[in-house]
Amino acid sequence: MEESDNRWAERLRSGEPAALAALIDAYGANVYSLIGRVLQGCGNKEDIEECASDVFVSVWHRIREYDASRGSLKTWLLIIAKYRALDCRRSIIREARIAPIDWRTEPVASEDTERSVLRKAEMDEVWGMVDRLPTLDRTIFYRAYFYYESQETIARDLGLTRKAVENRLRRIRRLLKARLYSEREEGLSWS
Amino acid sequence: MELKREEMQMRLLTDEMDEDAAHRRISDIESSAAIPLDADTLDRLKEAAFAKLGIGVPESGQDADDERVPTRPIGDVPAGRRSFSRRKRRIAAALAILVALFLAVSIASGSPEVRAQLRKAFQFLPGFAVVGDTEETGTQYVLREPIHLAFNGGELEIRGFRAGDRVAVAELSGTTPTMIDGFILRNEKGEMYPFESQRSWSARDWTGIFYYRGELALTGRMEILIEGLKGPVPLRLEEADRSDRVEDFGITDVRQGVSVTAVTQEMTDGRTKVSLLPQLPKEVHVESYGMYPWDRHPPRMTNESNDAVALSQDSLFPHPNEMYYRRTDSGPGGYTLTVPEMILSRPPAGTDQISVPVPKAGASMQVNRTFDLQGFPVTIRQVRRLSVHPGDANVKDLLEVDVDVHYDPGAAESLLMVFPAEGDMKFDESTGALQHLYLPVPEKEKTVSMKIERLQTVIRGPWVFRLE
Repeated sequence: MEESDNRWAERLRSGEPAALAALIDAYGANVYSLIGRVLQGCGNKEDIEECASDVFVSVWHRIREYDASRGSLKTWLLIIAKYRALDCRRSIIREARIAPIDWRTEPVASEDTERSVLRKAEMDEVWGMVDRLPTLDRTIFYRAYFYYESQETIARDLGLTRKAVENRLRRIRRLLKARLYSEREEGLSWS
Repeated sequence: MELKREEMQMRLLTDEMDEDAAHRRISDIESSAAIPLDADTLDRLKEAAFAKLGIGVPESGQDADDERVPTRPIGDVPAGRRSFSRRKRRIAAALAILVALFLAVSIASGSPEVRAQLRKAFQFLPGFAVVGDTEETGTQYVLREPIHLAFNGGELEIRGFRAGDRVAVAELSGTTPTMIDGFILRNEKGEMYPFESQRSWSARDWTGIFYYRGELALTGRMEILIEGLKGPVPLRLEEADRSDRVEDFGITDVRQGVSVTAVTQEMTDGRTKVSLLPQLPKEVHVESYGMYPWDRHPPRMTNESNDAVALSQDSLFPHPNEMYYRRTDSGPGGYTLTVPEMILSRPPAGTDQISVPVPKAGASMQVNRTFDLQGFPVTIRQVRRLSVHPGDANVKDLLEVDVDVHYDPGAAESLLMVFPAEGDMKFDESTGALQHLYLPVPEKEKTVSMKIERLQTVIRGPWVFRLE
């Protein structure tokens, strides 16, 4: 896989439009589906298509960043798609003018650098906890919460029952919740 | 099936991961396959992508060099989109944001050790000075003026840099097609320090905080190395001014018990930068000083002849408390900056909660009950139960709650908004005050309790600063 991903990436790097068209043929559905899940409830079909085409434009420009040793081309592409979809979601919400809640969706430079860096450090701790999960739990976690996949889909793909996926996710949530809860200071509850 | 709240919280938590971290952490996680797109959608996708690239779509047909087969269909259908009403969509969107805000607050109260360490390190005034209560004992260094660079077909700005004895922080913004994910700081001895990033972005622009935890060996000449940029960028840091009192740095005015200090700094492009530094309880912060397009009472700057002087902000990701003006030739006199009001954000107190009754389907109910939220009265006038999709058991009814926040245009501080943990809201466009909340109706419950996550108020001055 790495070898063929490398060859594909090389063709994209050399500016072969046919390689991009083939990429869209192969992974357009994955990208479309992921964006659809992220925009569910706030975007329409046109939004999804617009966002998906942006993803392939980004891939064309950013292909030099792809490192086959770190993962497949498909995963690299889908991570880009996820962030592009979040970007689209922010734009849609902003345009819906649900002010002032959505003021916070506008990226505004904070006057409080401390807050940003604190948050980054603390999020790193959370991701460190997820990284230390057993492989199967970690996979289920990211499929459910990063890729927004349904429990049914994850179960089918990993050969588990939906109940097993649900239980594992509940356990992970409890673990993260307990950690966050035990460290908070300001009396805020999780739910 | 409606996503459970905890599930949504976890998704939003994961959305907080920045893209670099995702590439680092989950590049080994394969996602499930999707069913193939229909030919028309695929064609539109290709046409749109190639049109944006300004190149023609290649001839259709199997790409000769592609050994892959299309992804296998296993039924992960992109969920034939739910027919959300506009309001429902808004609720979903608002809910997502509220949960994100809630999570931000929850997570930000995380590890005390990390927080304490970093908080000590960051009590400084970006760009020019350090106030006395920082526990960094060494000399602090700051970048006095932003550095602008042409980069990768766009602009890159090093907006600020500050180095102390425990941590160094830089803020960069860009209009480049791709964001940079880090840079190296190199001193004269050739020692290199990698800076990590935390970034956010809009459709075209991005901004990021880059930091290095540890002590830097600062030397007279420092350089920043950015991948893709020809040559190093000289970085000239200056020793920060230091004082025990923020008032020592500028002109201070106190209104309604809130002290604000305006600090001016001459820029080499001829502009003067004004930074507003309020002194408020730690948990309260200023959301706006009136410079957003939707603000109702923006700051005013006048010269000695009382002529208006234009105020501007950075075009990319402006800091809400920073603005610029140009001195005019009308005379040597001073300038007056007037800030009529500020929008404050207050975190919840432990008891900030509102309960409302749930009437029967289609019915309304007078409530007229007043709650006290940190000294601000909030009256629930009436509730109405609305059917979003009558007959569709999968779509919950909505509770429309008429809210009176007792907005007072003459009060020193008046409540504008309360932010519950979920729901949608409408506000009075002339005042910005909350009018209605829309909440999902829980099954079989006779009351709905809303935990308040945040209060937003307007506090009025005016704060007036006579600047040189």
